Amino acid sequence: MATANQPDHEESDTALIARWQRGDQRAAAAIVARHAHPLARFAASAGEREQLDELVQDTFVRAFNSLDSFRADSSLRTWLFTICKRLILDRKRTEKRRRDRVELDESHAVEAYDALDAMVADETARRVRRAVATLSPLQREVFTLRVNEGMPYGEIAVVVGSTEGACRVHYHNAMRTIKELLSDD
Amino acid sequence: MTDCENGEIRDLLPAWAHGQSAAAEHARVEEHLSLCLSCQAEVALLRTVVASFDAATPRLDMDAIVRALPAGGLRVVPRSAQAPRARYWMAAAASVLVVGTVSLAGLRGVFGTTAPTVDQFALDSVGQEVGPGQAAAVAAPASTSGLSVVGGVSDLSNDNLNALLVELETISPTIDAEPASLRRPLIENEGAF
Repeated sequence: MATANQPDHEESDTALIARWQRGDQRAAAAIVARHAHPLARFAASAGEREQLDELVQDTFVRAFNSLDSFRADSSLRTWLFTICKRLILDRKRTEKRRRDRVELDESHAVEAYDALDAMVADETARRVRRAVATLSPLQREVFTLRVNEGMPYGEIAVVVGSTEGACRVHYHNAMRTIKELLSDD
Repeated sequence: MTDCENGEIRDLLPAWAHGQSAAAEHARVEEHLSLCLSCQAEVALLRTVVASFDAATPRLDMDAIVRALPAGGLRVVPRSAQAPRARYWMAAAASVLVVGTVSLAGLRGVFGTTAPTVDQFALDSVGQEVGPGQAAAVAAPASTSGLSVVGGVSDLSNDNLNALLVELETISPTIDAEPASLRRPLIENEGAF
């Protein structure tokens, strides 16, 4: 489907994958350039702070090692985000076992964003991130995938393991919560 | 500010902000935005969210990521792609085996190294042995005529067929001798009674 800001001459992910499979490593570089930053942004919004490079790299390595099993009926972007989400969950489980403490909950998330805020001077951005951090993990994932990536509900449902309708409800609830929090400040 | 009541347009705003909406939807959203202050505020909020997370996301070393990826030309051929060729070779091997077995059996028949004996022929359809007299009767036509019916009857010439018919007409339709088991009295000392 042609979109308003996505020119038709832009090579599709499927075409890039085919080029890479023929040995063209520049196609792999193009795929990484297209998806790496959104993946890092998604991981950051999920509370990941350390070794984001490693997390994103692992996502791509896993994806490229099993591109034969990639089905073109879902988009490469959806697949990458699904892998990334699994890696984030693995990290959280490992961290939980290692530190013998509860998984990052909403209050911890707020503290994590507070730590980031020390590096980011923008007051508005700080407030927005604090508001997003108060969302439940599932609401936060749906909201950030929808807002940061413009992902349709169908794709989001695949990534977070829910239904399209439920994702729509989560998104609108999240948006209302954030608006209320920002108006209270 | 209260939310816009047009839920359909509000649903399209994130994709529109990313330029990922279809051309027709893009025009509808723009038309709506030109009139709706609430949706304009929501778009501003969406852009602020994206900018705030962008600012919090560190730059990545793209070259390092690409270097870590496997080379595309060195893919291992999946098993599913190998299967048809394997099946082809198995079918070819089975064909060779069948042809070889049939050929060997034919050669043995020609050279007569393991030709069946008369006694072997004298087995009925359920594998029960018949008496030697019957065996001799069964063997009689071939042994007396000197004909060898190695192939089918259709392989014989007209002369041979005629000779075979003559020989068959000379054979008695009844068995010359009773089997030994039938000639033996059921009660050995019948006269004693």
